Amino acid sequence: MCTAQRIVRRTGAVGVVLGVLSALVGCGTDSDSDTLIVFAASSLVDAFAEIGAAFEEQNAGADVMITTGGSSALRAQIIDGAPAAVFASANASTMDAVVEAGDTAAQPEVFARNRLEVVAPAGNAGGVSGLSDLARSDLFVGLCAAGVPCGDLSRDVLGEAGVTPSVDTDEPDARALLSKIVDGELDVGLVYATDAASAVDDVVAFATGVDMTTPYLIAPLDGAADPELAAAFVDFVTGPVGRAVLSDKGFAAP
Amino acid sequence: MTASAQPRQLDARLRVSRGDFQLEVDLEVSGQQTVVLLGPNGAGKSTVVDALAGVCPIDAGRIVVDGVVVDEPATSTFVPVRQRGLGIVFQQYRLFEQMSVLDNVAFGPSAQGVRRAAARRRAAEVLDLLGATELASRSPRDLSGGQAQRVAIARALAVEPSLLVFDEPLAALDVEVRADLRRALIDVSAGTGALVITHDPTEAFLLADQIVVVEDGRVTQRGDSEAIRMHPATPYVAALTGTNLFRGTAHGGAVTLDGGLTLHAADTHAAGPVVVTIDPVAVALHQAEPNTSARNTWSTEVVAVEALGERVRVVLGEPFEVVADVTPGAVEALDLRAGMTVWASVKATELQVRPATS
Amino acid sequence: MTTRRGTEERIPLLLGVLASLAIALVAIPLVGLLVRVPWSNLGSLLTSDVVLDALRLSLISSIAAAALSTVLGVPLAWLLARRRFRGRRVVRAAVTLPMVLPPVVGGAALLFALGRRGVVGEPLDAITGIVLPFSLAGVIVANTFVAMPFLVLTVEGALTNSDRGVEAAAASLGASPLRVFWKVTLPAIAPSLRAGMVLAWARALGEFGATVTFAGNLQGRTQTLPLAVFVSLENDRNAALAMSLVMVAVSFAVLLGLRDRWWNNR
Repeated sequence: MCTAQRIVRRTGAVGVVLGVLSALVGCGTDSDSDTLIVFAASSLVDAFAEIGAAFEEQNAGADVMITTGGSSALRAQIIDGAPAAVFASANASTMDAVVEAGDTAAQPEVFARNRLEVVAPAGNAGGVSGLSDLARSDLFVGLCAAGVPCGDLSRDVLGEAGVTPSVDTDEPDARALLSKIVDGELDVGLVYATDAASAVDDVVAFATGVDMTTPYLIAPLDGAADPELAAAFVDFVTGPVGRAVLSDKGFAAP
Repeated sequence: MTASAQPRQLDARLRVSRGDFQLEVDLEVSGQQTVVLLGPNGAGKSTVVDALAGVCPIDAGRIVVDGVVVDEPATSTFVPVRQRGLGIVFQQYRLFEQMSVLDNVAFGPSAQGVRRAAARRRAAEVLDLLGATELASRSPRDLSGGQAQRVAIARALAVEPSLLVFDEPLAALDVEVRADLRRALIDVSAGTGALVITHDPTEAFLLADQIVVVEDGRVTQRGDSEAIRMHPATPYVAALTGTNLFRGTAHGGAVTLDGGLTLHAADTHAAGPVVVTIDPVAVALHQAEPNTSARNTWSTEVVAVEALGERVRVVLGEPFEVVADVTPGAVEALDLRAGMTVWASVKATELQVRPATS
Repeated sequence: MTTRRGTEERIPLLLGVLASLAIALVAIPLVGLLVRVPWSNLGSLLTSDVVLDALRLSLISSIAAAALSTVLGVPLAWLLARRRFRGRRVVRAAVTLPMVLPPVVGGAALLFALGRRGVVGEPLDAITGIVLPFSLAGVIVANTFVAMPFLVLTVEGALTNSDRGVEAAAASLGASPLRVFWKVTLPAIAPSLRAGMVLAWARALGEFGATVTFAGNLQGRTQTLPLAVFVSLENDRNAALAMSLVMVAVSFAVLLGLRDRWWNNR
């Protein structure tokens, strides 16, 4: 599971390179096919794959290339000039940074929300029933590290509920945390509801009881090769088809 | 030699086959004897060392050290070298460079369970015996070849072995050091039995109570120095000892050598294939054709002139290669130089003729 | 004398150019790092709890990993260099595998083997109560996993090239194989052993992937410098740069002091 997570990240990096290459090749040789490079936060990987396919069906000639990665890493690549047409981020601050850097003139739009769930491995050997179990020192407890979106949200939720967690590891990203829970190495952790939904057979999930969500923002980028197509994709994500897919994957409405 | 009641230090029947090469050598060392195994390169000397040192088990036969069977394939007996009671002095010294000389010598006693202080005392004694006390605190890296060899001997002696084995003990040393060390070696091996493996005849003749000559994996001759020197059995031994040896056919007082030349011999009974040896001292040299009773005279060319202690060795060329040992006085009188022509003569009585089968 | 000076001064152009490129490849990223380091508030950044904890854990775990690599790796190297046994080639390849494997893969493999639900880890926990993941011991195990091949390769090479005759001499003097190894073999390869230990230590100090995957990341318990740098890069770039500087400084000081002395005195 951990390896799978890493491979996703790696293909993310490779994907950027491939995306750049195919964009260049596309410009030079094949003007009929219109390639749209979308940078999306890793928690969106399944949802955007489906949305992208549906978009291609409705727009003949459009070729959607989705590159997923940590929001912060994608932000850095965009600011460094990666030729992305659309950016979908997992929190407000990374999108703000892209706006500040002048990479988009558009007003970013919240298109989905995510909340956290208390997740234990299937079988629930630790007898977890809710957020307060994160304070138990007899359990192995994992959170996302402070500084990454899910880590910051976790600390806000715990603070709101007045729970002081007995943390055993601050995982560098949400997927790494989930895989350690799936493997049973950790007894309990806080992960996105969408991640919990993706591993529904391997984990049991409980509501936190705290009404806090993180917004997902999307915006077309100024560097887009075909600005109209980029705008159309953003509309498609925020439109009924996008909503339906996102809801199906466990995202809350904006 | 009062060792008759005691077991022999070494009783070995070595049978080893390595591909095409077959080794078949029997060796015995008893009492305080020094036995020298002499042979050219490739004769199987290192195979003998490997077998004795337990590096390569023998394929057949058996090795008995001081009454204990240490290697016998027939009974699946194999004792590792550390329990064989051998003191081996290796060709390349093989000193432990990270230890002082004293600790090198103390290593054996320590390994056998002697306490550190006692082992060092023992080491100091042995170094003293070999006149190497002043080397005790040195590093083996700082020793000359002769000093290193001396330390290697001390190290082997310190374990009070049943038998000392010297692998080419002097081969790596220069001439001056050799003479010095040779004396120490004789002193040392006088106390215990010793087997010396060497390709150097000088070493063999100086040290040996008995010489065993090995060629191509087999023993071709054994005997004391005198017997080997006087009656070399093969061209190799003859060349080593400086004796002239030829093969030929005898027929009624004459021997026709394989090269075609005929020599007169006093022995009129021999017939058929023979080995002829001529002591180099018996070859006389003359400025002109000699008027002598010697029945064999011939004109020849001087190939080389070499000083050999109190004598001078003269190598003669065509019609057949012979060496002559003459006095320095004779060299001066004849003004012998390489390239000049001289006359040589040998009395018929000086030709030793033996049947070639021996 | 003049000709000798002449030949020594002349560096073939091609070699000079390529060597300069090699130096540039290593030096330019370091310069890039140095330029970005927030020198003005470096003091406060470096004395923060996060940095001090990470530095302490890094030193403990890397030194422990180098020691463990030595205790286990030297006998293994000896076995590979000196004994023929079935599967030796396979063992040799397997031992060096962590050098080419992505460390995260190694960390995942460790987790599957020694994790709380691992093949070995679960019975280990049940019988002894020892749990390696999320502990300093786990960090040391992960570091050793990636660092040991460097020691094994270095020592095995030295053993293969060392003079067996000296060992035969020691055996002939009555020394047991263990005594020969301890008193003769080991002292003879001491320079290579030290080099292998430094390499293993250096590799352990920089270890990230296997550690974070197997042992997790918690300040003061399992968060070593590379982990702290990685996490800080996401939110506190200045702290990350300051810690990077610490790693570069510590590693460089040790390698500068040891490399020439330990590599060249053979």
